[in-house]
Amino acid sequence: MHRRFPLSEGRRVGDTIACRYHGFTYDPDGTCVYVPGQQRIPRTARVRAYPVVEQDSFVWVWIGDPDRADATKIPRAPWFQQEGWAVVRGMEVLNARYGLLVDNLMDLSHETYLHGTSIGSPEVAESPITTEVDDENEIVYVSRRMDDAECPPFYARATGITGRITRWQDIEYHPPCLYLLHVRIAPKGHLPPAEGPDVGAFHVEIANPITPETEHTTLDFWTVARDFALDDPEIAGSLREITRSIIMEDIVALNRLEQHIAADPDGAYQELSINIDTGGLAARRLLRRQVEAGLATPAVR
Amino acid sequence: MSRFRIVWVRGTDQLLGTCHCGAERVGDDPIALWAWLHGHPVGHGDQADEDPSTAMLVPRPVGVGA
Repeated sequence: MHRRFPLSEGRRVGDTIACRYHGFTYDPDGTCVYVPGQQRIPRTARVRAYPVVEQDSFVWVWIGDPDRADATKIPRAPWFQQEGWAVVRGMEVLNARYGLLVDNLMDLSHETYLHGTSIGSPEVAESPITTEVDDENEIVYVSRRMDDAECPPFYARATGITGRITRWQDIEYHPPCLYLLHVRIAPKGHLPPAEGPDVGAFHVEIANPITPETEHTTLDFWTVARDFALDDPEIAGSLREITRSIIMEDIVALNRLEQHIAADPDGAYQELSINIDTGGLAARRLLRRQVEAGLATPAVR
Repeated sequence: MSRFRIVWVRGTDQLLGTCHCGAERVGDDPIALWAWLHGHPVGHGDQADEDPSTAMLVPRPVGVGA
């Protein structure tokens, strides 16, 4: 290590990374291949390399023991790099531990209260959920099926649906990192056929790759794919803005929650859980198990 | 396949847990229901193990939202 300037602030030169401060340059294995002004490269000029896989538009980094990296275990999310889908994406920094984002995403009843002016119609909080855990493959599914719901204004504008809707929200969480939300919007009563394509319905695939940055900060690389209005830049722009504003509502709330928890970490209170928390509880259990097995980092050490 | 499911029974405040072995239990506390499911096979297949106070599905009064 030379003078500790973060290599993440460096720049790529071909397949190498050059430090922006003094130009120390490293190859993909972490071996230093250049230092300024001299031929001899010190033996200790070396950085750690991490296994990386690019898949479905995401970059997956394995920060654990390299011998335990297994690319076949990376969950798939094909819509974000597939013909017939249009994608908008962004990244927001959350000043909160990742566990709070997991809790938030696993219980969408909060949409009714926190996102009431955009996607949170009353039916979201009122509709019962079904939660399923695939213990072997470590996946939590939470399904919320609304048979007769108000159509959020954006969806009405983007799909042309004028009346009430059948609205499905199916969560598929692969702890610790990949949260997927499969959304189906259709005119009220319009169900998918037993076989063949789901014509007449509109689908949105949402991913929140939950990436802890520090113990108390998290990166949310949100990604949204749609199978309608594919070539409509106005719809793409609105979807980007609406998604970002919804995520900012979450971020403001979770940042506030983090401050509250951090100010009184051992606060004497007893957490209570009700029906809406069934999915979040299942997610926490799998995360705990992964932490114990050394496969995930604890939300807070 | 080790799958566990909890259905929030429509029109009620109650939860129906189903284990991969087919055992079922009704309750109103998701923490207790998950603990029972993940405790498989303890108490599974034994109907007498059910808590009688929560074993009936009681419809929610109309007009009272969640």
